[in-house]
Amino acid sequence: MKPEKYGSLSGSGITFWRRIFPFLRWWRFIGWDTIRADLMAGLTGAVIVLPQGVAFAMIAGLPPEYGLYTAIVVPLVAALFGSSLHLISGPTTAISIVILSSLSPMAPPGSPEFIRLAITLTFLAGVFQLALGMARMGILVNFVSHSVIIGFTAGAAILIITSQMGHVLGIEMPKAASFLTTWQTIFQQITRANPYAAVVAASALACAMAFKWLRPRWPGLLFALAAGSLMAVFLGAESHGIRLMAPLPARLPPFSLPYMDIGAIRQLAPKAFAVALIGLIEALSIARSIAAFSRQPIDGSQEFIGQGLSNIIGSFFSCYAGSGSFTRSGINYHAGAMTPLSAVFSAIFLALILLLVAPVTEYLPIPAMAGVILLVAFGLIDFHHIRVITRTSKQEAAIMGTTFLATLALDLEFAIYAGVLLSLFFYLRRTAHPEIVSMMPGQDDAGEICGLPDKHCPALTIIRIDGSLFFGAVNHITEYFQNIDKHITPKAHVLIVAYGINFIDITGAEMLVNEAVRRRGMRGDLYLCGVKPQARSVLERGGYIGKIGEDHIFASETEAIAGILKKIHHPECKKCRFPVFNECKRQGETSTP
Amino acid sequence: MSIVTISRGSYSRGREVAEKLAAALNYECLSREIVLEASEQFNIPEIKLVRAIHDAPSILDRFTYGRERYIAFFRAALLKRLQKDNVIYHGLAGHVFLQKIPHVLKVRIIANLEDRIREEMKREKISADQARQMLVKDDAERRRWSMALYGLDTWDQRFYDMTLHLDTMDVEDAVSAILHSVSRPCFQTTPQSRELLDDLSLSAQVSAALVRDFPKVTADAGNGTVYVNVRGSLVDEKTIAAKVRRIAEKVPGVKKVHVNIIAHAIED
Repeated sequence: MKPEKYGSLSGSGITFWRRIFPFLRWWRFIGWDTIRADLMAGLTGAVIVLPQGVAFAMIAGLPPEYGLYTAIVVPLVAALFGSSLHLISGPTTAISIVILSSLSPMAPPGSPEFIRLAITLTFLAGVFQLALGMARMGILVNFVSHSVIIGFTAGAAILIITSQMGHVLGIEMPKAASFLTTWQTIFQQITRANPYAAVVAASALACAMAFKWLRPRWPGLLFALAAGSLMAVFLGAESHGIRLMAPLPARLPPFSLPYMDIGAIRQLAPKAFAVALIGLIEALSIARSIAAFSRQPIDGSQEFIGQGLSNIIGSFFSCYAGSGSFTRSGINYHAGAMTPLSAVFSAIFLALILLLVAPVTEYLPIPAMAGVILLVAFGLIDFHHIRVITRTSKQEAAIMGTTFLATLALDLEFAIYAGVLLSLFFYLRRTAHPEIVSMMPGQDDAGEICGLPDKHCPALTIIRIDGSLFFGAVNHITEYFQNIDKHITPKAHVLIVAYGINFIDITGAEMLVNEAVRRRGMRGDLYLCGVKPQARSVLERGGYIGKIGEDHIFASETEAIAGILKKIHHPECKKCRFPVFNECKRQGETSTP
Repeated sequence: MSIVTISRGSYSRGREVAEKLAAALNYECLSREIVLEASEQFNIPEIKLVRAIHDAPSILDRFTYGRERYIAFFRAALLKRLQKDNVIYHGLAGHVFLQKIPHVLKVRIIANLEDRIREEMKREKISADQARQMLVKDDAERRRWSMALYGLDTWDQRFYDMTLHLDTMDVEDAVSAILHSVSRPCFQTTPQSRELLDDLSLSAQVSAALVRDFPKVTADAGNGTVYVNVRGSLVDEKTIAAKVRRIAEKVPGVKKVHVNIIAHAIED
């Protein structure tokens, strides 16, 4: 017994405010322990995003500081208004590439005009995302199955590892190189690898691994970065060509204004829609992947709203379009983050780093960061579930494998499409082939019918259909009916045990009527028992019950068998020596002189 | 054989009812003793315990979890003591912790505010205004306490088996009414209700053992098996589970421990 809370809001009031301000959902979960964990994860995330923000802005054709502005404002808003507890948004490779390719025909990359267009594009993409979220389109995320997520995560982890190999080995890589190109380059230039860079990366990796195993609750990733930096200093970083962080501008995101004229909006809208979709798919896929570890339910529509708001607000603070980052989300989760406050802390720390300690970041060696990222990426591969899926179902394994390979070969969002399409294909194939089980009375006296019959009655066939009778399944079921007594006349009476039929559509109902008519024309008939109310309602409303026969629909199989056997006059019954139904046996006993 | 808890406002003469009832039944009468026991057992200052079970939590408490700790200690001490049976407990939070135990007669004693003011003026030698102010504040504080920590309103009559208004009825009448009720078969200790109390007490001992390390711990027990829920990141699942087991298994009576990590808020 728990009465209504005194002086508190009613249930619907709470739900309303939680929908408007989703951070109220986890606000009460916060305590000193979660704040401590989030602070550590936030600090780690802030250090990791420094080089990424700079690199991604350069890929997008923007000055480096714009990547950092995006890494401050976008994750903060997305975390507070999104659904995932661990997703870290901000600049990403995919969106950076799309921005460059979309806007470079309109203005020279890096120019003030290009920057203004990028900010307008961000604003429009945010509006689209927000609209999709408010239309509750996030429900589409339910079609991304667990196998797709596991395959996608494993593929993305390999991609992250691949993207860091250049830094680990000190090899210069082409910008935005594909998986194959990267490995090709690595093998071609392996002789030119920088052993000092590799040593720095290895020391950071070893340190991170040691903390993970020996002191898992300590901020091992930060210690690993420190260890890598010390190793770089010890080796003489610059004299041996170990890349360090570029100098950072010491300023906070300045205010900016998107173009608000119709011409620019019309021109940018289609490109913004593409950016919006890519951003949403990316963010949701990553949120789902992390949720596979954290077991947190994700509200897709809320995530859309969070992403939309982050881009809209970001566009007023010199940010370009952002989305979920797999690397940073993975690091955030593995660093022990418990609430979205980690993203807020990360943004605050990044701002502080920019303002106060920007010169110190120049001592951070890129290979050390790469070493840390290697460990995080490896941790994202869910070996346990990969084994379970491989053992359990070939179809699921195929979905997982396809998504994994597609992630390596295609763009991230297309990899998800591939996995989802394959999942839907298998799902449709499964629903189009509902299981049909032939049934007969068991050995016991009660005469309960069951599957796997060892008996056969040529007069009455009982089948149980497990699945929906809809347009997609009609062909399969019709074929089954025809094959029950192909080439035999007169046809058997068929009883369908319908407990497993949840749904019948018009095509399915028509099929039942056609089958009843066909069998009657050949001295057989069709009966149903155990029809669920929803399915029965379709048969009634469409007038199909009248066509099948009101007296052909029974409540249970026992009632059906008794009713059917009373009225059938099948020629096979007259010469039957092995009656399978108790009703036939009793009839035989009474007729014996 | 039974237990009676008496919930009362300050100066409602509930203490008097409790003491006379204990004398009539020859039961032990407990109140502040539990605080002293908890204070001794868990080595915490008495004043902190009293505040923890009386004052409504502040914003700061939410982050430090001091209150959760003290309440866990108090609850463990109270339930352990009540396992002995034949007890009258008149004090804070009894009705909250014993809601699920059928053989506990939960009584609420209320009195008119003016009567309480008179009683307080007499005992504390203060003015009527001061007494009124203190009583109103005290009532509100207690109400906020149970609302903030358990979502329960102490003024909600559904939490009590009987509510006695000391207006027309005097202390003797109240004692007589309780004596009649407590003799009813439904308030007698049975092996099943005894088992329920033992399980509740075991879960409270485990919570008290864990609360220093895991402030948001909740535990449930049945036949020596304890189901522990603690807050933490699933990244540390193994480490946390091992630590919880290590601590919980030391509590006498624990045979097996199941650990569940709560990694995110679950909406109600």
